[in-house]
Amino acid sequence: MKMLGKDDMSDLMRLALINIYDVMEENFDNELLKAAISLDSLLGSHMGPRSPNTVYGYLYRRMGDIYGFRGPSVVKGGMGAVGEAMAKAARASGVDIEVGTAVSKINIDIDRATGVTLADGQVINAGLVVSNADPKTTFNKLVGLTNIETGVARRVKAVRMKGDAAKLHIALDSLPTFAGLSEQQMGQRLLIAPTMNYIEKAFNHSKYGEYSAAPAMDISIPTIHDTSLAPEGKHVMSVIVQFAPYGLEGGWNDENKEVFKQLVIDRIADYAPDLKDKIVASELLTPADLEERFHIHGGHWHHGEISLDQILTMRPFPGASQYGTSVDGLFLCGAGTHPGGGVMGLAGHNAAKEIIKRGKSA
Amino acid sequence: MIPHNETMMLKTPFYSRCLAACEINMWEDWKGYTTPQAYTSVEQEYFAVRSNTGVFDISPMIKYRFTGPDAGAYLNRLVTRDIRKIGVGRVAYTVWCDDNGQVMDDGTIFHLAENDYRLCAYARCLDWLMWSAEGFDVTIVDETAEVAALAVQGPTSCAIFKNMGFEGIENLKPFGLTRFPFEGSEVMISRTGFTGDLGYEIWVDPSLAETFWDRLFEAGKHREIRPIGGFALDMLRTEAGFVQAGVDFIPAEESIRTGRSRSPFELGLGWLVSFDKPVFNGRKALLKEQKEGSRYAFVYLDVEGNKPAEYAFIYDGDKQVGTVTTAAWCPTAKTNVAFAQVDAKYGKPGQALVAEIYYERELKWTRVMAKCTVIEGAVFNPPRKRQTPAADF
Repeated sequence: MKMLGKDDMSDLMRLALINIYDVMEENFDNELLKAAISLDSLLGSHMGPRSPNTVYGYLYRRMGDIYGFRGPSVVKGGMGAVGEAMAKAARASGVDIEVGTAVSKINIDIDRATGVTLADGQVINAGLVVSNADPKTTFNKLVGLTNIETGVARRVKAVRMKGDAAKLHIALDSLPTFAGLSEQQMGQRLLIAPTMNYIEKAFNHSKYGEYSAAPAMDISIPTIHDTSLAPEGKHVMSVIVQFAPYGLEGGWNDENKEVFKQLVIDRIADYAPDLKDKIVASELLTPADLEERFHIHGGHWHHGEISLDQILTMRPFPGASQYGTSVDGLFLCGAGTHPGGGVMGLAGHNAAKEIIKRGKSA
Repeated sequence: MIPHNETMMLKTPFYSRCLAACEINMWEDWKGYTTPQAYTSVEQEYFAVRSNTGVFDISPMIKYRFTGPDAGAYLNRLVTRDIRKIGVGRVAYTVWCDDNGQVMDDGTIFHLAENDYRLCAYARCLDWLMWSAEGFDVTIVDETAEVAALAVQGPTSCAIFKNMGFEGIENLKPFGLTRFPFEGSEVMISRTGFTGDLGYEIWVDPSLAETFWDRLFEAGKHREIRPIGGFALDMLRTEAGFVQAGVDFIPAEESIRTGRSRSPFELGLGWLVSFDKPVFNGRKALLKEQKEGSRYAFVYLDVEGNKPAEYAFIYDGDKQVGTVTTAAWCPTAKTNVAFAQVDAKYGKPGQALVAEIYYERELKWTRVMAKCTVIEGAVFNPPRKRQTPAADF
């Protein structure tokens, strides 16, 4: 940071500690632009534009810029193809990967990991266990808080990771019509976030355990770029919906999920009036669903809020940085560790480097 | 209307009796409770415990109750001792540490019944206890105000209890606990204490406190029973070699400055640490310390002369190697004792050191460089403390 020079460094320190709302007000006039950048600063988090940490959230999102990635890319074959490609590369290097059975427990002898027990009861012994599950799932469920010291258990508990983003998937008979947009333009990210206050009001609901009455959305139609994702002429739409709090008052159930889904679809239909006629199927995944389906505590896709108190050596929590944990032989490598999630694989890469560096002492 | 100054301090269930007995009106604040520092004369109170029986109101001691199927496992993770070895009806002295292996407090764990324990502590620590409960099926209750307690200490204490009708009390072993019917309810008696003598602690419902006190003093009147205050207790525990939290070490959670807290090894309490049990708070740090060595040693010093080495610096030649935490002339052992924290390498028994003692007589200050020697164990440790059945003095 010192390399920035005195003026830029003090400006960065000032900006990092305020919120995206104030920074936008300082710099821009256009409401749509201000709202669009604001939404990027808080996607996936439990924050509104006026929340602290949103400026850092935006910088974090643009981290890929230094590696030459500008703007979102669409993966051919869908996001799952990234994992497939990595698995293929690993297998080619002689790695055995077993899938289909969940790990139910990390086995520990006093304070050293000795392997894992699978959901089917099979025990696999290992000198090293590397978990890409989020820190809370790793310690709460797999290690067990009773098997670590109080201070660590307390830090695990204090990690903030309550998801606030729902995912809506829609299968479409044909491409809907968004007023004023060409097909090519429909292939870009479509945001429903007319003003920063719109987002802030949407966030207000979630603070009190309600879903947004008028949610903010990030919509994409990947089939415009990759026709392999749907049958000929058909399309899929993928929508990030904020805010749908993990801790909904009274809990999520089929009934309120359906009401929320219709509310979201209605809101999109305000911009694409023929949308509803083209829907073949739809599903809404709330943070509670994401937790259940993908074993992410709180359904938080970053495996922990991306905020200044949970980054660098404080990610996932102080004392567990450098990918090691208080349990000897147990390492973390997922999005809950530095530098966090997003599809970049840096956390895993760094964890591997650290484990290799420690060698036998790991 | 009650004047506000009368409501500031909490009163123990024995307050009315303490008040009546406290002839010199010397009171102190013990964790929010007002308790006598002395009732009549400190020396008389001290000798009551060594020669007869002294009664000390320990009701303000912080008491937590742990129940539930995981109560034992929970405590085993909390403290350094192996709680699995403490059977029902037994009491254990222990310390508990933070993750850095620094002592948070010391106290006693009473195994009252299956899955039922009481922890007596110096400091309130409910927050730490609750944090530690994550993942355990255990219920924790602060019962400080729900249990009235007295320490009844001294050679005639057993005989006085027999006078009260507690038959078979003499067979209670050190660190054992038992119960007797009392006034339609019951009293729990443990053979525990902070004086290093034959003695007991009694635990009753607060509603029975005054009745118990009256019956106890009635039963003990021919054996010179008398209430004792905090000053006499301090002499007694010094002679008996017991460390006092907040005096001989700073509880880790209360220390603000880096490096001021101490590990069990650095307090001479390494014998309380059991590595041969499941993970417990501080284990990793303590294993490392055991391997790499401690920073400090806690020592008992036999100090030349009769001037208590209060607040004294400790020297090896010209080099200052430690400080005194507790010091007193011990009347029964006839020894000038000091507890000191010294650099680890000066902790071996037989080590000769020097204490720089300042004392004042009628505004004249004198400095004494008193020779002292590191000694092993407490200077007062009579067989009657352990003898079972307890002797009838």
